[in-house]
Amino acid sequence: MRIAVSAAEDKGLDSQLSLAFGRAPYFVIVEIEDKKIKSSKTIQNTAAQQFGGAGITAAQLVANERVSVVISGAVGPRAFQVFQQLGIKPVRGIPGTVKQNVEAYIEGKLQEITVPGPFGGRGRFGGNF
Amino acid sequence: MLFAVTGGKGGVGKSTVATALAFHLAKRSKVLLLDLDAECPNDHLILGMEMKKIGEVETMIPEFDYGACQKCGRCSRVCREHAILFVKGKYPILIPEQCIGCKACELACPVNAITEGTRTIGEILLGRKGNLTLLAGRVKPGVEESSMVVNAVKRRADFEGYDYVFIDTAAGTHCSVISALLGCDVALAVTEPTPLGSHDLELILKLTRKLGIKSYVVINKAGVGDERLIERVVKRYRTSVIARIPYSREIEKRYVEGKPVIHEAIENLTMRLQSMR
Repeated sequence: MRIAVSAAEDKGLDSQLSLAFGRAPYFVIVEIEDKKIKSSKTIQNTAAQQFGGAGITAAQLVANERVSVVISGAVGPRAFQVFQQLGIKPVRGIPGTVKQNVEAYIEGKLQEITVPGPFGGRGRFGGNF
Repeated sequence: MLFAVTGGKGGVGKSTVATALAFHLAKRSKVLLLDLDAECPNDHLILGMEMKKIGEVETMIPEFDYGACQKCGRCSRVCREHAILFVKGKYPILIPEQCIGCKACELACPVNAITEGTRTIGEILLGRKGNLTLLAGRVKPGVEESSMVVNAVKRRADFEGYDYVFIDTAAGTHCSVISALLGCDVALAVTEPTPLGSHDLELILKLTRKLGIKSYVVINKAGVGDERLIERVVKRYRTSVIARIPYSREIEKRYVEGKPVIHEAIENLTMRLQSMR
């Protein structure tokens, strides 16, 4: 299965998780097989500088990578809507690297995002900005 | 002659001034007031008018014929509002709130799989009391583009046969205010003698200057602050103060009761407007 993780840096699996989705600078696309990381690649999020509707374009970007799960700090209302339509599961990440988040996901330690919002309804805590 | 009552700053007294002017002039003249603060139209409340819905404001949204669709994604690529999501191998998905109805997708589709559907984004309301006609626009809550409703109300209005036409704009200087101001002959920029008032006054005067609309300043709540703040801006923008409406208990009372303001300052202002026609 393929997972997209929003990343704040261009360091592949060692990048820090980005707490935003739509305007995350990068996405790391991780291929999982037999509960292990098989491969990964980093793509730039072209939606980050967009004037509006960044969540939609970013969602489209990761959907075109055929992912079934997205790990991010939070997911905005537009992207959330798109994920619902496409059957992609948004998952709440934890502060740490992309690798740590993927491993936590494999171990079943991460929660699904059920509420969209700039900071997932948690207000100011845990935001990049 | 089209008079715009604007000001930039919220709560400074635009609707208060617009309704007071309209109310006073309607005693002897035929007046049309357009409430183009489409997200929060309040003029009918101040004037105690029963409003009737006379129309809906609709915008075009694309409807996809998935039977004909070739999943080429061209519609998504031409959409500048990111309203059409396209994932390879899947049918395009419309995000209606982003759509502004430009029809580029319809033109771009190589197999004519897109037809025109509609989305209701607001309504047009009409009220009449004696010589005063009030036409208001109201945006459906959650709709992002209120200037489309503003423009729909303007198109619907029949400007003929009135002695005075006033346009009450929304606060701010964004596109729905610009849409309301376009075509106006004179703008009355309402402000208050405070640092916030003078700051926002400058923004609205910059805008009216860009739009080529002659502006005059109305100082509302005069007497509570420092008018020199306003005078400095007035001088810089080579305009003048056309009215000073004092902060008074009687005005405050009328405002709190949701009634149009009656004051000598308003009467004097109507006389200045009369001389402009």
